[in-house]
Amino acid sequence: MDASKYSAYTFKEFLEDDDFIAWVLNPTDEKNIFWNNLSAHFPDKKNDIARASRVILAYRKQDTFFNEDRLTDVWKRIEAEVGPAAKQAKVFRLPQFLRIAAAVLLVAMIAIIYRYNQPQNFQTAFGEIKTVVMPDGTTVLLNGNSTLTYEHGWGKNSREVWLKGEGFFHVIHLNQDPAHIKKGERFVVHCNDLNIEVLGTTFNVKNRHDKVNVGLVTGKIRVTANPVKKILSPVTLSPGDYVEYAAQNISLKSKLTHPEKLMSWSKRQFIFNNVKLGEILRTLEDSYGYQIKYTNPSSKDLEIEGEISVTGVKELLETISTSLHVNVYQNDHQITIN
Amino acid sequence: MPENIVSIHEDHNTTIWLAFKEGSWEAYTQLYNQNFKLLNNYGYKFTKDVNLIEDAVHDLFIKLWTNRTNLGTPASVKNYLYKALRNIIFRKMQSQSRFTEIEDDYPFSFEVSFDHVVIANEEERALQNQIKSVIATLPHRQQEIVFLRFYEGFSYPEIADIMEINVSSAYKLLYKALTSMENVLKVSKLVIILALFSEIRVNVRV
Repeated sequence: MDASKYSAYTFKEFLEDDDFIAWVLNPTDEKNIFWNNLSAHFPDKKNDIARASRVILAYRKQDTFFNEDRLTDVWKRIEAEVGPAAKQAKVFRLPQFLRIAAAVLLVAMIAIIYRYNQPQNFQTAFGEIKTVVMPDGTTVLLNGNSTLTYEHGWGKNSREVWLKGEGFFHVIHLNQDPAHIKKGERFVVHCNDLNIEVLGTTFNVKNRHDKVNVGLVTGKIRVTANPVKKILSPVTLSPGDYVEYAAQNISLKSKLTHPEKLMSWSKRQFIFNNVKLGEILRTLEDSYGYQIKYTNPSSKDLEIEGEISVTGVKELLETISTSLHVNVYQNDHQITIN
Repeated sequence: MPENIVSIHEDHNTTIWLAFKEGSWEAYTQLYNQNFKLLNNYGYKFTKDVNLIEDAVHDLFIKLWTNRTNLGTPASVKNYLYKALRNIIFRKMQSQSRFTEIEDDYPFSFEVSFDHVVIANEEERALQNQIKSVIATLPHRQQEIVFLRFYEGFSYPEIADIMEINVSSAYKLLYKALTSMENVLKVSKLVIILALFSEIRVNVRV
């Protein structure tokens, strides 16, 4: 402690001094020695030191209100509320970080369970062709602008999918004993209220504009429908059969010699047979997102005789133009027929 | 370097504080027992409503126990307790509409009385009366700072923390209080001689 500063101290300055107060409030031998020496050294400060000391000590003798007789009673209140005996009533509280961790974990678990229970969804954009592989190995080729949906936990008790748009299915055969077909061995494709049941086959399904077309390539499939107010007999398809479900009716449209051509779209091949222009361009609309404009609406009914098989949209439009003697203008995604 | 002023209880508080934070009920009990009286005394400066003071002390200790795992270790436990109690009391008083905060002055009183003190000599009695008179003239915040400084032994930073002012304001506030006190407390040399004389007389008698 720098003693020299005290030589000029006033009464008030002693009262402001931390070391001085520390001595008056808590006298120790060391401090006593210091301050007594100081008084001796600076005798003109002796009075001020003494006075300041007396003032503080006198002040500290003031009346108090310690409320001692209430100490136990107030404690009893506290003990009753948080004491060891009160533990039964208490809610177990985890420390803060654990509570936060538990909350986060709970939310994560809910999210995972929710997502697990959500149906799986595969969607293609216009012009996009995608292969979906199912958990059992079944492959589905999806054409543009199409959606394939199936539920989580797929394959355990059933193999069901919902299709919008067009898809070519190669379903894995699971059944061992034809006499006893188990639940998960059947593969079902739902298209609105039409159901296509297979065991293991390859087939093409086109579900567009409230019309479903199913063409069987290999295997055997059974088509049932649940339209409102009608009972339809199931229809069993053999390879080459091509059926259409529309207006609540299943009708066999044709027997295809080369049903595999149905999946030509997957290679961006366009194969049409005796088809009207409207239908060809409809395909471009559905799967590729083109906008078709006819200057003359009757152009839709123009028919191409025989089979056309082309690869790519450009070639298709050229073929249309040549075969039907029409002008085809293409501007980005807009096609105009003149 | 100025020595941190500590009152007698300070050192004990830190060790039991640490044990209490760990969950020691024993330490918590000690913390209560060691600070009950001083806290009541401090509270009594703000209000004479003993129920309110007891509720405040109760609330303070409940909060301490329930939050013990989240508490830090303050440099001065006493500082921490005083500040907390002050806040609780203010809130309780405000909710009772006992007062609305008026700038620079509060309707509580840190005045001093010496009614229950047995004084052996006249000089000290005279000094006490002088102290009592001058304190009574001070604004309440100056009264409080005098109390926190000279009775409780808090340092300027601790006072600033408790009263929620900055340290330089604390210096200024005490300076004002001491200036007022200095003018009144000028004890003449004559009185000192008389005091010394009366002390000698007492000694002789004994």
